[in-house]
Amino acid sequence: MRWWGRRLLEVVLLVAIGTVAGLALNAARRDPLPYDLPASLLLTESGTRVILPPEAERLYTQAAAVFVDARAPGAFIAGHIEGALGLAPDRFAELYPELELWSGGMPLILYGERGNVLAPDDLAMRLREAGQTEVVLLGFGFEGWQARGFPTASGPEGLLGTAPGSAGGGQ
Amino acid sequence: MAPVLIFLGILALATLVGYFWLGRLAAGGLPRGPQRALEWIARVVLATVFLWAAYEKASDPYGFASSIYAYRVTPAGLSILAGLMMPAIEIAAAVALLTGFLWRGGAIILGGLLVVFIAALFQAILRGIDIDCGCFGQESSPVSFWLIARNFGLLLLALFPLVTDRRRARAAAASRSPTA
Repeated sequence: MRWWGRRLLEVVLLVAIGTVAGLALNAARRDPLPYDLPASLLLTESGTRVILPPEAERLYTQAAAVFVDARAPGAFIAGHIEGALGLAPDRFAELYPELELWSGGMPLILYGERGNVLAPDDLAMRLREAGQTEVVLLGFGFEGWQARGFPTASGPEGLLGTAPGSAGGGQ
Repeated sequence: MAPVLIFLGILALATLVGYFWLGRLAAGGLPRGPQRALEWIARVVLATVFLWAAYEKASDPYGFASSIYAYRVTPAGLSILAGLMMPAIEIAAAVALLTGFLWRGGAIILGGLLVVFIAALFQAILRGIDIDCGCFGQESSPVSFWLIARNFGLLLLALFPLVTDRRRARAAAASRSPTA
């Protein structure tokens, strides 16, 4: 019994050390993982991976991905992530060739409105079916990006399906 | 269902046989030197696997929390907490195994985690949840019976030094007692 008593103490001690270290490490990170993330940001219907604004901003700065706005054209014109392509989900079949052309095979980061991952998630599924392999969703949507003060733009530039040549290419 | 049960039966049998074989070794089946060397090798291999896995998981806590949530066993909040705590606990336990300080506790923790992983993988397969295991962060493979078998193998590595140590402790206690 004494052997097990000692082992229990060791286990408790190591778990306590690990717990404190794990939580402290998170607090010390440049972008700590929030404890209250909604379930929809951990797992989407289609199983598409979600990235949070800080990671998206890194990819934006490195110009390593193309942002795709899955909101209605009106919302895109009012404000979007700088350099994003606007793809209205209800015109997917018509606009996809244009997206393919402008994105140049780069990874795609899809976003919608904060709190609504369904529209971009559905779009992500269709993009994968169309042959895009690297598609992720931006957690907290456009509002989450904007709230952090990351670069935004307004106007129709980048909105697919408008005047020829109007899409401004990806960031 | 039948192949699943047969597979689990074989694994359980292999674990039992392994356990008793370890017990025989501990009872003096091998000379002291090689036995200690085997224990040490088991500890080093187990600790190395967990250190590597923990490093991968800790470098992407969000991805790991998502992987945990994808098993559909824990709620979102608990998945995030587990995603943050688990890699650090694994590192603490692996370091304990390597340094010898609190190593028995470390082996029990890693063994316990492996049992949890086996149960999580098994329920995911039974429920038909098609996900990546999340075992090594982003470098993970889809959930499969092979992963369950691998975890059983690692579980033996955790049990071996513990079982032999327990036997030695018992033998030492018996030799000290006046009735022996």
